[in-house]
Amino acid sequence: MAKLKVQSITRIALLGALLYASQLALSFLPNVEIVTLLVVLFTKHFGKEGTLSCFVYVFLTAFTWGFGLWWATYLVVWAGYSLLVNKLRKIDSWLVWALINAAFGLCFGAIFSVPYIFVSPAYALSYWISGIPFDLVHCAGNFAMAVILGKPLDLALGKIKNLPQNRK
Amino acid sequence: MSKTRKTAGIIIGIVVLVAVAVSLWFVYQANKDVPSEGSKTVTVEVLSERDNYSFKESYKTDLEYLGDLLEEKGLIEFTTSEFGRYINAVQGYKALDEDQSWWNILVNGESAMTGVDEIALNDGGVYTLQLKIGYDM
Repeated sequence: MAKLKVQSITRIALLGALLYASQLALSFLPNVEIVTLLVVLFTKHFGKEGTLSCFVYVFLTAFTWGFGLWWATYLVVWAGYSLLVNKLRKIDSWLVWALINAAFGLCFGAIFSVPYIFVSPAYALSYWISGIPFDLVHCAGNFAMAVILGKPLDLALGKIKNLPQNRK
Repeated sequence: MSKTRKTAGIIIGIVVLVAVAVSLWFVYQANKDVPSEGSKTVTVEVLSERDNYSFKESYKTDLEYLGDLLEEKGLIEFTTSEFGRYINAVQGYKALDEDQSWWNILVNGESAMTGVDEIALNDGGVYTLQLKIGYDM
C-alpha cells in the first residue's frame, strides 16, 4: 500500500516536472505550447494523478515567472481543464481532441481576463481584445500539436504505462 | 455513433471553430490602436516616486509608434523579444527585481494594454511612463 502511494506521488511529481520542462522548452515561441496536449494525455492515462500533476506544474512556474493574480488563474485554468478532460476521457479521436484543445487555446485569454472584471470590466475587456492575436496562435498551435503528436504520444504512453514495473 | 455522423460532427466543429476565430480577428482589428499619419505633437511624461523624479517633454514627430519615439529620443533602455521592446530603464532609472519595480505605460491617463511597440502615436496624446512597485495589480 505504502509502495503504491510512493509510486503515485513520484509519478505526479514527474508528470508535473515534464509539463514544466515542456513549457520552458517551447517558451521561445509565443503561445505555442505542448502543455495542453500533455495535460490531455496525462489525464486520459493517469486520471487523478494527471490532474494533480497540473498543480505541481503551476507551482513550478511560479519559480520562473513569480506569483501574482495570474498565478491563481493559471492554477484554476489548468486544473479545471484537466477535470474537463477527465469527464471526456472516453473520446478516442485525436481530431476531436485537436478541436477541443484548439477551442481551449482560443478561450485562454478570455478565461484569463475574468478575474480582472472585478478590478475593472473595461480593463478586462481591453486585456482580452489586445491578446486575441495570441489566442489565435494558441488555437492553431494546440490544433497542430494534437493532430501531429496526439496519437503517437498516446500509443507511447500506453506502452510505458503497461510495462510490468508501472502496473498498479 | 455512426462514422458518417462522427465525420459530420468533426466538420461542423472545424467550421464553428474557424468562424469564431475569424470573428475574433475582426473584433481585434476593429479595436486596434491606429496611429495618425504625418506630423504630430505628443507629450512624454516620466514619473518615478521611488526615485523622486519627474520629467515632461513635448515632441514633434512623424513616427507612428511609441517604442520608436522613445528609442529615437534615447529615453529608454530595453531588451527586444518576440513581443517587441521591453523597457528595463527610463532615463537611467531601472526597473529592479529586488523591489519588484516595473515601468507601466499610460496613454492619456489610462493604463495601456499593449507594449510600447503597439501603442500608436496620435496628435495631442500624452504618454506616461510610470514606475510601479509590486507585480500584483
